[in-house]
Order: sequence, then C-alpha cells, then structure tokens
Amino acid sequence: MTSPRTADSLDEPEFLDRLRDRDPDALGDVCRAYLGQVFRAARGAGLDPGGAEDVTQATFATFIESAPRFEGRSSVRTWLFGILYRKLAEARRVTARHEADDIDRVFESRFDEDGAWIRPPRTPEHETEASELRDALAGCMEHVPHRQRRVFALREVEGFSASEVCKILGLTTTNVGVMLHRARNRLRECLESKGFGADARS
Amino acid sequence: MLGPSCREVAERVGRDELDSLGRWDRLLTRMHLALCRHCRSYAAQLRTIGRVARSMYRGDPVDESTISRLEETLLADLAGRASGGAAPVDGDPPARPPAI
Repeated sequence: MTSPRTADSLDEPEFLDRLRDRDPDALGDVCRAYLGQVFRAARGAGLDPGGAEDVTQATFATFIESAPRFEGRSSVRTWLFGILYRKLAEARRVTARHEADDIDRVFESRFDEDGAWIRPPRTPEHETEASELRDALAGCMEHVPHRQRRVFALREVEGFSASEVCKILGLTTTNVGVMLHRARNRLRECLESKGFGADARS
Repeated sequence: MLGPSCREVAERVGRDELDSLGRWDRLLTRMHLALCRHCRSYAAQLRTIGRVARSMYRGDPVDESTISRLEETLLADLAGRASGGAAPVDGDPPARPPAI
C-alpha cells in the first residue's frame, strides 16, 4: 500500500499511466482524495443522503470503468466532477435549452434608466446572524434551478475555475457567467426577502 | 460617473468577468468599485453568500459518516481487485454459478 498522495501528484504522468492500467492502489488514491468532495457536491446539488450515496457510487464505478480512456487533457478532479455532473444531469433529465429567467427582470428592476441602484444593497454584517443566515441560505438554495445551482456549487463551493466548470458541464464561458450571475442574484433576492441585506431607500 | 454604470458593474461582478475584461474596462470597473459604496456592498453580499454556502456543505456529521463508509466499501472492492478478483460489495447479488 502506498502512502496517500497530494492532489497535485494525482495529475503526474506516471500516476496517470497507473490509472489507465487501473492499478488498484492508484484508483484508491483518487478515491481517498476525492470521494468526500464528490459526495458533498452531490448533496450540494440538492440530493438527499441516499441519492448522493447512489450517485457517488455510480460516479466512481464509471470512473474505474473509463480510466483506460483518460487522456489527461483535464485534471483528474475535473474529469471526476464531469462524470458526476453527467450522472446528475441524467438523473434529472436536464435539458440544454437556454431560456429567459425571471431573475434577469428582477435584477434589471434594481436599477434606474441610467443604471444606478434604485435600492442600494447593504453591507453584510459579518459578526451577527451567522447561523440564521446559513439556515436562510439553505432554504433559498431550494429555489435555485438545478443548472444554476450546479454552476454556483462548482465555482463557489468546490472552487473550480470558470474554464474547468465549462469542461465539467459542457457549457460556454458566457453560459457559465450568466448562470452564476442568476444563481447569485436569486440567492441575494431571496435573502433580502427574508430580511437579510435589505436597506431603507436612500 | 465615468465608465460603467452600477448595473454594468454588478453584472460583471456577478458573472466573475473582471479578469476577462480588457485592461481599460477592468481599470474603470475597479475604479467604480473603489468609489461606489453600493456596488462594493453588492460585491460583499455575493462574497458572503459564497462563504456561507461553503460552510453549509462541510462538516455535516451524517454526511461524514456516509463518506467514511462509502470510502471503506470502495477501497475494499479495489483491494479485492488487487488480489485477483472483485470483492463483493454491499448490495451485490449472491454469486451464481457460470452458465454452461
């Protein structure tokens, strides 16, 4: 048994050769490094613990099955999350249609015709309301459409770059930007409706 | 104000577009953010939302125990492969004799 590897060493050419040969120790290193992240991402995408467990198992099964075909054009982590998000999309039968979103109209309504804020945002209070804010955000997250939620989770929670998110979800940079913007504004508006971040008209 | 409006700045911040802007637009956007407290508040709200979201998905005790169990199962399966055959995992059907 080899000692646990650092995330960077999981993308070294020698290690990728072992992965392609489906070396159990190499596959085990990937499992140790990323299984928790994949499971939490599935939870973050809105699955209950049982559903997240199923999709995590399916993701690693596909990962092991497809390891010989991995070309190394993206990192192992990006590849793994690509498998995960295809599983999530299959599970939800997400369509690739691009549609107008009510949140765009809400966002526009926050500005006057010169593009200045009509009702300015309030600087968040860091010290107070932390647990309340967390509970409120969890509730608001339920109202974010799945595709927007995935982009938000990959960028904000998992810390993937925009280009990595594009690879994982098969979207253009512009689409990723639009969906991130919509998810953030939907959450912001929802929190404001619950009394967070609202400010008196100035 | 010179340069982009609050709406344009909020859109650029919301889309994480600052780094992909040309130098001039990036400079004007940063200047706007430095001078406009409303847009700074908006950016701070988005940062807070990201920070709270990160804390939401970490450290749930039920999730952590499920992760440990899943990892054990998968590693046992991989150890089985290493020793020459796939180890049974929870939920596998019982082994059947090969068809003749």
